[in-house]
Amino acid sequence: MGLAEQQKALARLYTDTDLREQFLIEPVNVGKEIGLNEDEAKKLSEVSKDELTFFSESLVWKRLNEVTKLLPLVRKAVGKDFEKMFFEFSATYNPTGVKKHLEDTIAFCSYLEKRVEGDWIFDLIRFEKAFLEFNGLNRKCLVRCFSFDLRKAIENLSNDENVDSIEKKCWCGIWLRLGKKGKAKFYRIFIPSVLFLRHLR
Amino acid sequence: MKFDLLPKLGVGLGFREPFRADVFLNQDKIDFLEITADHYIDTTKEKERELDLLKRHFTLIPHGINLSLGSAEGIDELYLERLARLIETIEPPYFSEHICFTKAGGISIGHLSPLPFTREAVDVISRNIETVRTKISVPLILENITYMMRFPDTEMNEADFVSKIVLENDCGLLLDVTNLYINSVNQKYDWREYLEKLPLERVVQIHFVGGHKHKELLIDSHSHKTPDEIWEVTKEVMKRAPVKSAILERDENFPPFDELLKELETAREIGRMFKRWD
Repeated sequence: MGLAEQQKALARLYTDTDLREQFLIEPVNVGKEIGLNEDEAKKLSEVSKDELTFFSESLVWKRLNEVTKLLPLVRKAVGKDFEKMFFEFSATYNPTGVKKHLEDTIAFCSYLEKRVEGDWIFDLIRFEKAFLEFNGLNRKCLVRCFSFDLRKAIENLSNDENVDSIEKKCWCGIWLRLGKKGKAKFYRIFIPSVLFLRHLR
Repeated sequence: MKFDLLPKLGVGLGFREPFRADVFLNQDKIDFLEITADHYIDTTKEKERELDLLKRHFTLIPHGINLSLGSAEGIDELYLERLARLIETIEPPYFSEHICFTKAGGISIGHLSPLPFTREAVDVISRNIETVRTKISVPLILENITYMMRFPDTEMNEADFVSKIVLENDCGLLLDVTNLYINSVNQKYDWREYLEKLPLERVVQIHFVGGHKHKELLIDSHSHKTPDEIWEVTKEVMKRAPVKSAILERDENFPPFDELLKELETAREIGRMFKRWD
């Protein structure tokens, strides 16, 4: 087997849990799916099952670690289900490109949004996602509307305190890049009144 | 390439965002910084400003993690062009990458993946280095990675594999002493024998840091202080190789910054002991 074929097969086995598990059971059949002939599949299956699994799982832990760093508030709000949901998500998405951790995190936010709809955590996910989209993707302007007043939740989570009840209150977050240097600004406008325009930083 | 002509940079730190304030406050204790090249490729205005600020205060060495020199399908041209632009901006004395592959068949693996120790893999890396050199003229030094997987079609041992790549391509060596120690434990070989086989005259830089233990395996998590066993490897390498620079590569579980400075001082003392720098 040439190195190119071996690497293509390995890349799929490292990043696709179901495929890997199937390959470890039926290397020849699954090998065909990933472009290996019978001999090549048998040869590759000589790689230790434990070593292959350990390396592949370490890739997901590495992704989780990076995503956790980018979503500190959501991680705390979601709690221990965060890891479980990331492992489910990781099997459905593989980021590419230079900003892969950012892409991974934004895609994970979209995945989480579908699971917690209606709750203040839904707003928090969208809030932290908007922050990443604006800062990480160099957006000039970003507007998002929210249904819960997240200030208390953010304060509590930042101080590692419990979040008891969050007031329902509609508002828009506006992220802007101003001036020649593109300095980032964030504004919060409560709806319907615009009297609460606040320049936060 | 005459690697002995490269400057002696001393002892530095792998720059991470949480260290930002501390590196400026302790500029006199940090001889240079290694930056992860990927953090400054196709990046934000804030990161561009950060790079500019760092460049004005420190010698910077770009350390690539995604050039994928071991990819049999060749080098990603767009990534290479961006890396070349970054290197032009920084003007470093050299840059570094890993002996591994990170991409194949349109999939980004997300980590440094080992190559089989074969002639074909050496040839693939050689072709890719030739491509890199059409865009980047700055000397390249290559780093040994850790690996858990051993391939059935291996034709040589790890030390011979690394040596062939470095010697046949006129590259320097970034010897990660932590990776060397971890591999020696996980793969059950003697790191001193490994050193015997390496072209030690090519060692330009070293990396050091501590990892953690998972069951019987050592993991290069860059998450703990450098243990005594790795200082022992560091001493042996400093004694025998013309090391010009050393980088503490801490990525996780950050301690108070003073503890990192202590580790830098330990490495500095070891280098002084063997007259690697003043």
